[in-house]
Amino acid sequence: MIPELGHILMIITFVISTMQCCYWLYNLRYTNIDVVRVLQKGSLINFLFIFLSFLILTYSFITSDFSLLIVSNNSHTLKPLIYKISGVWGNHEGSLLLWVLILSAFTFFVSFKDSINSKLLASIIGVQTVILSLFLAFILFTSNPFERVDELPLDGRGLNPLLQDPGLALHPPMLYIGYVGLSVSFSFAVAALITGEINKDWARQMRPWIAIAWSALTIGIALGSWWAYYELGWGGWWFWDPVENASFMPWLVATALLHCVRILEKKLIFINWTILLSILAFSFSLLGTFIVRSGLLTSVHAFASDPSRGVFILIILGISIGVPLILYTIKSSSFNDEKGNFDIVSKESAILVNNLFLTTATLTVLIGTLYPLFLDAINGNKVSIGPAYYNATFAPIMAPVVFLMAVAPFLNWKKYTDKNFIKKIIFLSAVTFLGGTLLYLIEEKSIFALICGSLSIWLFTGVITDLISKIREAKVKFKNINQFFFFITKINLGIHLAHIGVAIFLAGVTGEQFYKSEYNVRKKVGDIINIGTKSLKFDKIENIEGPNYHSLMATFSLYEKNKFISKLRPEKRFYTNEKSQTTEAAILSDFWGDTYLVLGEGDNKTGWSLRIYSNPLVSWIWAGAFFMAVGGIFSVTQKSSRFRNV
Amino acid sequence: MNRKYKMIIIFSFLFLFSNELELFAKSIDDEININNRTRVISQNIRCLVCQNQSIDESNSELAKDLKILIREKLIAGVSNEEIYGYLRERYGDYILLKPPLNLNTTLLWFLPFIVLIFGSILIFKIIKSNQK
Repeated sequence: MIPELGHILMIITFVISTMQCCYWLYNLRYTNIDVVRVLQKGSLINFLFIFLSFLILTYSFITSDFSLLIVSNNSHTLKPLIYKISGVWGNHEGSLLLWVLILSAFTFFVSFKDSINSKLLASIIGVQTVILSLFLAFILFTSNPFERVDELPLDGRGLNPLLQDPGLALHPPMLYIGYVGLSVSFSFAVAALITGEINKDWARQMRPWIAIAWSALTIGIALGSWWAYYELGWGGWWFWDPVENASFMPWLVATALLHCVRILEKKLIFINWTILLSILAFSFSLLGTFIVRSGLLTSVHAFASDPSRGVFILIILGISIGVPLILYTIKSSSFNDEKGNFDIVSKESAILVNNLFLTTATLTVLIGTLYPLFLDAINGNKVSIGPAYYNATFAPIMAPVVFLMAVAPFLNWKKYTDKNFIKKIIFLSAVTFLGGTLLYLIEEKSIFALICGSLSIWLFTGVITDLISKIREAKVKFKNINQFFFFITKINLGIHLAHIGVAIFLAGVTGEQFYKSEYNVRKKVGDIINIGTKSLKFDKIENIEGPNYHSLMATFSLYEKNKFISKLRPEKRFYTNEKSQTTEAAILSDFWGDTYLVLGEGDNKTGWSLRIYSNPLVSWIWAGAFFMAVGGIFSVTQKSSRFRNV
Repeated sequence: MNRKYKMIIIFSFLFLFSNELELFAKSIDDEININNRTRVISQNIRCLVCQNQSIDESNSELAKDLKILIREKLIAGVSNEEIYGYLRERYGDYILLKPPLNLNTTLLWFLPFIVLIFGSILIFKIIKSNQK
């Protein structure tokens, strides 16, 4: 009875949202505040109903209601509670419901922004609701989470053991907040095309939404990468897997958009480009959502693939990407840019160059992801595209971006006026040269290691230099907390945080990519393994019973120069219900790097095969991403144009 | 026996077996070299039975066999390029994670850079036209 209520709520929401779309389209020419009020009420109801229906699905998972198909396929009575809850979105149907829930939440929040003029706001809610009802239709007609089974099974089939991890509780929701958050800027862009009006306020109202989505996406991607790092057991953190690429492409476009929209806040130039980027960012999100589900590309995320849904997916993609693009080609010529009047060396130029490189980088990832499909369709040839391709194309395209990122914040809007610009560059070069030499002396690796490490130092120095000079310029005395916040908004701390995040990330990449070492050994209990300055003692190996698995757990003691540091306990887990096995690496992280230990096959007579990685600075990769996201959140509070260089 | 004689004996032994010692040192070097080369090649070979993994990352039987095969070939003195060629002949382009440059992959390799060049020209023009 309760699941049916969830189903009915979804049907009602579908009907309401479709009616809302019709109402919006019918009143398109005469939108006023009353129309907005009706749409607001609609989006509130949609949000509440979908939230309820989501709660009902969660309830069914918690109570292990195996009369529901997806519960019996993806859950089990013995599964710990946290995985019963996160199991809600560990499958195709449930994850789509989460997607729709987040979409309705964003629609609800943006719809009550009365500071947006009502003509624009009506269209923003309208566009959001069109997407909402398309997705509801997709769920109701092809992927109903409340479908019942014919015969009640004794117990569920359980969840894929790789997904039974705290990562599942956080990674998909954050990623989806990022994906779906980009729908708001998309709706801003489509609404601008429909109403034919655009002004600086449009850009100002839109930027916080991009920043929130971008930050969530950053965290979501970083969590996924971290999860893969500790769970998959081969020590890598980014595999250029099609699904990773699918989440990375909207991130790259959103990054470009986040920079580009700042120009528009100052002056009405590059209007069309900003609109196009907004449309593309969400289009890539949609592509990302569906690339996982279409079964077109194989990847570790293939849990959701089902080709039979392909046609419906194509229709949704066609409407939500095609229609705006057609609208764009028709209407974009009606927006006329002002004359820019900026110097060649100015913030505007720097942001344009940033956009060029970021979009080219996105294109590279797109080509790398879809080329195998494209080639197969053209002449049936099969080709694989691995990290080597991206190292040769993506990396050299992104290197100039990082190079520019350090110096671009020195520049002013419009005019090249900073007399210290050259001085700062000389200072940066000197520090980078010293740092690079030091890196070379510590341990000589390839030229790429040197470039990557030096770029990190270059950027780090650049951000610090900029921060110091901004603090000097600001001349604020801290008397109370308000002044402190005023100060933060005045110096654009968000930018500094995000950019320093990139520097930290790059330092991590340098360490992990070029300075890591690997040891493959076969050892018996009692043996000692030497890894660099550390040594591992094999203490014991034993069988342990988990809540829904058997585990073979080895215990090692890690010593550094004969001083005991910690115990390491790598495991191999056998999940009996799911009939599969996972390796749980034992990882000891500290500031300077990780010791990563994987237990392989073996027995007590011949010894156990062990893989040990020493990954210097690897956690800086995710720390960097965290800084970027925090920077993004900070930039939401920053009302740039009101304070600086107006 | 005093120390002097000991040293003479040791050195004469060293001298006698210097050739062998050199060979031994070289064999250790070779061993490390072969291991490193096996890994580099493995990272660029797709595990055909896995979901998007290289044979270096995979523990599947096929991956193990291929790694042994690559190792044996390296010991036999075959060059990296020849091994890639051999695997490509046996399994097709699909097995190479770094796609070779040929007619099929021209677009793949050059499009990003072509776009970058034309984009740069465009951006330069835009910046010029917006000057005071």
